[in-house]
Amino acid sequence: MAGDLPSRAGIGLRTAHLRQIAAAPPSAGFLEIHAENYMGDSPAVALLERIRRDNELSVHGVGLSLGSAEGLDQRHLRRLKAVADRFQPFLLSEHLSWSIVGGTYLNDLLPLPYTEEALALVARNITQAQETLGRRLLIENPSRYLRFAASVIPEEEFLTELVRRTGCGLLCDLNNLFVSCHNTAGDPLRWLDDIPAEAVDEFHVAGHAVNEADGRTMLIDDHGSHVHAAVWRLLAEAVARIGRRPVLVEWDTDVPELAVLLAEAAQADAVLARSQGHRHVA
Amino acid sequence: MLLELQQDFRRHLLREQAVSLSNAVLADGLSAQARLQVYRNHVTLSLREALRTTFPVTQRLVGEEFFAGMARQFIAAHPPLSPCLSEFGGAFPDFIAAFPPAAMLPYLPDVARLEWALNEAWHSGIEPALEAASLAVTDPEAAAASTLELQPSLRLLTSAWPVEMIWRANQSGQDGSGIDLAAGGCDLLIWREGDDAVFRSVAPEAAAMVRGLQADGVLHSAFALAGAAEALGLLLANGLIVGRRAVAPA
Repeated sequence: MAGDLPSRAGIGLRTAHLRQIAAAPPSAGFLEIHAENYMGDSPAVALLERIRRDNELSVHGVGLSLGSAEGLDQRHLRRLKAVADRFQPFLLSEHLSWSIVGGTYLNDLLPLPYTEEALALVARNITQAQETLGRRLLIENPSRYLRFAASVIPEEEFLTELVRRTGCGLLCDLNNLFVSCHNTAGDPLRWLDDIPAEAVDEFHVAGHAVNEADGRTMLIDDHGSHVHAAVWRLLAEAVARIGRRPVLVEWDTDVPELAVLLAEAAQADAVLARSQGHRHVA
Repeated sequence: MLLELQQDFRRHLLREQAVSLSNAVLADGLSAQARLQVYRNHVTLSLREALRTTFPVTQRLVGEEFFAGMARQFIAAHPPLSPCLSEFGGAFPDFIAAFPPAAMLPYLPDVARLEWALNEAWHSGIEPALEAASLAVTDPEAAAASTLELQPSLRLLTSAWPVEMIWRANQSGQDGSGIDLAAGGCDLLIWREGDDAVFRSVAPEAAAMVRGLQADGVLHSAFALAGAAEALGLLLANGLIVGRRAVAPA
């Protein structure tokens, strides 16, 4: 399945670069949009139509709230489907998190307790979303700043079980993995060993901020700087274990000029090129 | 279980009421409060940023700090209902109007209304405009009984304050001076033109006609108003009429 994907680096498509990219396709393997930015009928949507003619595109949703205990927002699901139908992405992804409760959208990828109840619920929501969308979703591991006392299932096992129950794929975000493991005392290499390699169809990398809280460092996933060296190393570890996949460089705050993003993408391509490819680690 | 946890999380994030999530969260070497604070900060700051993007002149008029405080209270009272953040903030102008600390700037709600209208217009599609020729009246009775459809982006703002002057004096590169608050009110038509949202002031009669068209779309009630011809010319010249339909006989 992963064989026919462009195993190259892509960049997030940001408003500041729309015109430049519409004028000339950049040297990136693909572009990734946030679905929610293209659900209206703004000039940006018309520009994206033009950009799509010359570029491979993936669609990344941030608002579907697959972990909502109340079920999915059907209107938002239909709007996501309209974006996917219109732009025909080669990948469509969302998050293992929740954002909506009581009809309120909280604009963050909020954490779930990893319990049997949550597993059954998320699996049901993913199944419903995939049926409506008529597509397979990739599910991304979130950045975590806390663990719930009620959690009894390791995240890697939770994701593995979602793949088994719903047929979804995985989006392995190495910055999120690094941030989460730092903040909640996890082991990123064991996590990579334990997720099903054949289900992973995309990698994400991004920068993060380092904050001090009560004399301890907390890493914040702000997508506002260069990818850290430790995250590049984690990408190499992931490619060695899982294989070559499309890699997206995300940069959403303090967005630099396009050339900086393309240089990050070239670095990701270099990691893919150096990799010995698929190697299973017991 | 999960639903209660999510409801408690919401109350914590929006500061709706003090809830204790400390027992639900492992401390892990850092207090549960400090961990929860990361999420609360993100929600508040990212939504404030969304409001800043939509209401830049409003922020410039009150300053960053005042705006931040006003935004924080607005976010708690009117959190977003949709994951599309460009749709967040429609209730902000009315909130400002009822926000006592902003009462010394009585024109502020209308400035925010203009910014919201520009935001809505920019996110609207453009329909093919009707040519003037296809509006030519051959049968006055049939014409009077037809309805006009307007561009989906078209908005109308009537203010008792010189909102256009205030807005233009507070664009980047302008120093905000030269505003005469005694200049009186204005009627503004707002719409999307190409890749931009634009607006211009119109005569009160033209505004009344557009209001009539927006209300029921029927031409004869609009034509009964003075200044209708001028208003129609303005709408046609800017491609703001997109359709005309005969009203089915009763």
